[in-house]
Order: sequence, then C-alpha cells, then structure tokens
Amino acid sequence: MKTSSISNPSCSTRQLSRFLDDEMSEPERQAVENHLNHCPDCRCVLESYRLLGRVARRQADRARVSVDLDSVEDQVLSHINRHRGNTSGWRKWWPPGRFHIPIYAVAAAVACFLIILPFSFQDNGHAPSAIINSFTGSVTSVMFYETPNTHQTIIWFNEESNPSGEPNAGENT
Amino acid sequence: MPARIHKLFLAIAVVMALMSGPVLASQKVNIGIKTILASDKAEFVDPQLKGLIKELRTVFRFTSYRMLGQDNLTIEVGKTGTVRLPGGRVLEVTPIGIQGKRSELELSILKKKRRIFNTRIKLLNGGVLTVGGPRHDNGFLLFNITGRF
Repeated sequence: MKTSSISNPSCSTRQLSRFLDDEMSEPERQAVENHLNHCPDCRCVLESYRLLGRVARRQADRARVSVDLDSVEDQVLSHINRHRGNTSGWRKWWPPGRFHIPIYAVAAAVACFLIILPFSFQDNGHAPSAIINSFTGSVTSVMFYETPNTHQTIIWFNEESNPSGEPNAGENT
Repeated sequence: MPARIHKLFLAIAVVMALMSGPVLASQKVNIGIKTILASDKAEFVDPQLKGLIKELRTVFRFTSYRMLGQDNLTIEVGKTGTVRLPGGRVLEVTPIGIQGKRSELELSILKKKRRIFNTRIKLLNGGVLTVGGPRHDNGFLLFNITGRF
C-alpha cells in the first residue's frame, strides 16, 4: 500500500481517500483518474477502500436492525432511575440540602390539614340542620322533611296505630 | 419504609392527639326545647314563635301555633337530660359527641315508660330540629329542639 510518503503526490492514500469520498475539485479529480489509469497499485488500494467501505456499511446496517432501541432506552432510563433512587422516596422530590424543616413542623402541618379537611367540604350553608343517622321506634309511620329556606330538618311521626294520626289535611307535603 | 417516615407518622399521630384532646374533654351541649301545639282551631301564632313558624309554614299549614312550654338543658357529652312533655311523655336527650360544627345527639321519646321514638342525629351548632306528630288536645305536638356547644 502506498502512503503519503510516496514522492508522487498522486499516489497518496490521503488523495485516494478524498477521491473516494468525492471531496476533490474537478481538476484534482481528473488528475487522480489519469493517475489511476496508469497505477495498478493505487487502483488496488482504491478497490480495497471501496470493499472496506461496503463491508463496514453492511455491518452497520445489520447492527442497526438487530438493536432493540426500546430496550436500550429502558436500560438507560432504569440506570438513571437507579442513580436517582439513592435519594429514596419522597426525598427525591425535595431539593437536596436547600431547606431544613423540622419533622415536627411537617407533622403539625399535616395534622392541621387532616383535622381541617373533613370540615372544609361540609356544612356550606346548604347542609341540613340535622343529619339523621338512625331512627327506630314504635310508630306507624315516619316522614322526614327539610324546609326550603333555612334547611331545617323536621321529623314527623305517628305514634298511634290509628291512621287518623296523620298530620292534618292542611299539611303541605 | 425508612425510619424517618416512621418518625413522621408517629409525630403526626402525637400532634393530632394533642390538638383533638381539648375538643373531646368534657364538652357540654346546651339544648333548648320548645313544645308547640299546632292545630286548626283558630288563627293564632304565639309571638314567641314568630320566626320559627314562618319557616315551618313552608311545610305545614296549621292555622294555630301555641307554645306550651320551653326547657333549656346543659348536658355533658355522654350524659342524659330529660324533659317532661305533655300527655305523660318524656324526652331524653343524650349528647354522644361533637364533630366539627355538629353535635351528635340521641333523642328518645317515652310514653308510659315505653320508648316510642329513638333517633340519632348530627345537629349543626345552633341548628334546629323539629320533631312532630303526637296528637294532643285536638292538635299535634311539635318539639322544636336546638343545640349549641
């Protein structure tokens, strides 16, 4: 194989490489082509370069087809997560070392939230005055009402078995 | 689970216990009971009942509302207060507990020592419950019950 140390500049492997990669100007290209017509060594080197290039491309194509990019992505992400996992659990959401909040302050805040939470979603002005959890008794019937304006709860029951124990006929409901 | 998280849960439990302790300790509920006779005998509204009757008239159409009696009780949570009602009836009121804006009450009406009515309610602080239905003197009895704590 000829090298750049050859006295004839046309027999330079560097020039052949440039020729092969189509990086020459037209006059340079013409000169190399003329040289190749008369230099079997350079033709052989050029052919070996071309062969090497084809083999390399084929191998690269095969490798590209055989690589499972999703799997590579998963592996990379799991690797990243493993490293991040060193700051475990809720701490990974916390900026490291920037603030120090005493654990009892956190506990007090959470406790306040938990105590206030159940009451923040009820009794908003439209809630009934009384919520009836259970009712039992020796009554023939029982009715529950809620007044429309102030949401007062009313329990009406008949303690007698006599059906005439119903509220009077003037009752609204 | 890391030890620090265990400590956090323990701390939350301690703080919650400390904060809720005073609420549970010896709470008292003031109960007001107005006994009303509602009937169609005449056109009459007791002046003491004016505001209340305006609201009740959205549900009932009795023409007469007369207050027969008024009782006020201050009852500790877990204890029972009693009020004598017309017709040999007795109202028992037992505050069960206080949760936020509501007191949980057990109400029972007894007649000749027989429990004819029993209910558990959660009454808003300052809220009103009206229990009605028993016949009395050509009308019907209404028991207007308020609770404050």
